[in-house]
Amino acid sequence: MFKLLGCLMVIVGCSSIGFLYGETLNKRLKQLKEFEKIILHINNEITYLFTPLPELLYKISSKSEEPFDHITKKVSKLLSLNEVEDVYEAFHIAIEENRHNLYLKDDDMNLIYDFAKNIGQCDVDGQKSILSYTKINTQKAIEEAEKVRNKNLKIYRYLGVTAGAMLVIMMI
Amino acid sequence: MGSIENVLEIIPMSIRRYMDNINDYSGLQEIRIRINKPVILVLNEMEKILPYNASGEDLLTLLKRMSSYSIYAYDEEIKQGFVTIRGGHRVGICGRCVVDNQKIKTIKDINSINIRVCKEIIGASDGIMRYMLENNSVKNTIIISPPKCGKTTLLRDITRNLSNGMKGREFRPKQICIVDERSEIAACFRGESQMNIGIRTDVLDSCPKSSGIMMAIRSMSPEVIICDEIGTEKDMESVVAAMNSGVNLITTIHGFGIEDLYRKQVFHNIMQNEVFEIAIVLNNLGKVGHIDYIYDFKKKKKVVT
Repeated sequence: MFKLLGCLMVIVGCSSIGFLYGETLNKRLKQLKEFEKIILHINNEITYLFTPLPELLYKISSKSEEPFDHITKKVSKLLSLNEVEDVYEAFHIAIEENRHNLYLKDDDMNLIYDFAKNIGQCDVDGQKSILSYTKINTQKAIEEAEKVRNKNLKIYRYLGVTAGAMLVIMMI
Repeated sequence: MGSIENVLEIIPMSIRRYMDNINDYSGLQEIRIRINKPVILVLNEMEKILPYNASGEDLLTLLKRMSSYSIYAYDEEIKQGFVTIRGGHRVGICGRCVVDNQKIKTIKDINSINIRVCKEIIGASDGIMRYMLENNSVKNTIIISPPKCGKTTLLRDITRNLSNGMKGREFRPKQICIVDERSEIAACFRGESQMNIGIRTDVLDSCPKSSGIMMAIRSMSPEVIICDEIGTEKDMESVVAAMNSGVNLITTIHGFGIEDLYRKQVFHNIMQNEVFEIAIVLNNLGKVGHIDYIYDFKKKKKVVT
């Protein structure tokens, strides 16, 4: 009876690890799509309303999903209180605070940091170019994330179940 | 009136640390920051030179902070050479102008910044209101003053008095519209006036006077229009149009006396049409806002000297 229960626990445990690891691929894709949505909001606010960044990011924080809601709110607060030298520093602080909830790869993070380095530093035409550039790169990252997910999601899940089953067979 | 904190919070720490020994900021009028030059504070008409030379980095940080890290949002103001920050304080900038097709596109390589602390003097106009009112109507008034004599401060307080009404003076408060081309009168920051301009006052912020006056008449139906520093042919056309619409006007010009109105060609038309009823002339001999004389154009004489 205990043996059977132990085997079941091993299979469930390994399968969960496989599923959880696979889920990080889903979350990465979801977060990249969320960032793309934020870029779209920023584009509208800047090009039509000329809304300053602290106000704009505060607005966006109420429309965004975790962890971008916390990140944009924190950046907005840091900028409003003039507690940082530039927008990049504000993003850096906010991202580090929420790092545990981000499933983005280093390349994806560089995309956000590049955006933070350039946003707010020139006129509307310049902002349009930066936003357009960021949007294109985000779309590329989304395509790549989709490919990786489609390719690996099932593999990780099956790998978890298979690893669990193999362990059980070895234990028996 | 805006807090001095609004000024201090945009100043980089490298400069702030040399200001720590200043306990009383109530007399602060200006902070002048020039690249590679000592920072100069004007306190109670006296200069205080800080033992610190501002760097390019300091000016860049200041520019970012005063524009809320959003240059695009203050592009039009920067082109004009100033930005109004929270609290109504005005930050003037100097640098290299990028000109395209005879128009300033932007200012780059900022080398000087002048922070002018906003002063609001409630009651500055109390003494002159009786000269501006006649049978419950407002006389068309022009304030003539050299720079830095308080004409905008006076104009703002006149607006507040006309809009709120005055205790002990029987007149019906007026619906007022300020056409604030340079955000000086109402000192709007993100649409909200930072000054006490009265409860019946609307503000057309950052709007050219020539188009703003007509817009105000059509959209808000004011009884009195307030604007600052008229001086172009287009401005004069709008002033005459406002008169024809039955709206009263209170405005200002740079000058030293009513002779300036007669001497400058641009005012020829409005003087011929007898647009203004009184002129309030300020001088820089006494304290800020000191009235030199009030001239009545109908009586063709000075009524107060």
